[in-house]
Amino acid sequence: MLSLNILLIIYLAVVLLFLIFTFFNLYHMWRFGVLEETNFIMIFLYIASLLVLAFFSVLYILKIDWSGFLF
Amino acid sequence: MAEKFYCMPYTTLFPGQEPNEKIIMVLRRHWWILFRIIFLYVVLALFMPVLRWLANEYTNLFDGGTLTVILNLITSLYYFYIITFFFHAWIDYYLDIWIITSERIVDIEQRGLFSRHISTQRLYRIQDVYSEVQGFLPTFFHFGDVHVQTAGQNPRFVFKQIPNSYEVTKKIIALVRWKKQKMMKQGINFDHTENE
Repeated sequence: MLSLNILLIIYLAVVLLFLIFTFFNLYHMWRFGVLEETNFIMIFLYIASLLVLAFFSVLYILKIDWSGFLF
Repeated sequence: MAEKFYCMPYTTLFPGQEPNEKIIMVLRRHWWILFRIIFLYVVLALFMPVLRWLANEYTNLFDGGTLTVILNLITSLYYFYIITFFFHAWIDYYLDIWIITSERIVDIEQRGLFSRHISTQRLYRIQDVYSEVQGFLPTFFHFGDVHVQTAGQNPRFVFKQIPNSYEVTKKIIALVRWKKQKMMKQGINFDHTENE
């Protein structure tokens, strides 16, 4: 039987990896991007789209009883 | 006098800019290169809805149970990474930049997340400039490489896939000529400044 907890841990590990990527992406844009509006707009769009996705992901996470089993 | 070459609204733009250095041109790759990246990621973004539609039509994976929610989470992860990789591709495009100033040319290239290459060369050291347009699309959309041959330690600069490469070449040649004439009028010998 596969515990759903394990799936949650795997999910969070993948999210952690994603957060590391995101950190470096944003760092590069902030540190090396030239002083243009495009730079700030892209950073804003990136963060905004990630927040929207994160919102829906949290909704999905809350729907599951993670103490159960998948199979 | 450098004003006659201006085509950029910026006064200060990049780190390391010298106090009297005026920005003449800021060059990035042609929009077609960016369009290709956007097109690829739009296709990847549309892939998941199509897959889900097929799954809905032919399977009962999305019947509302725990498995459905888990599949939704996998979908959200997919989109997290699509957005992140798209943004990374954007950074790669956006941070590859070639700047021509009244004093020098600056080549800034982002190579992946952890490698950034910056090289500069004084205008008076430029010996030869030529452009190269190869292929149907570059010819059609007017973009190509500009090769700048210099006398420095980094002898060749290549401005890759930049728009209007012929015009850029002409402008660099005019700017180099203007700079050398200005230095000659001031009595500055290029040979004495070679090791700057």
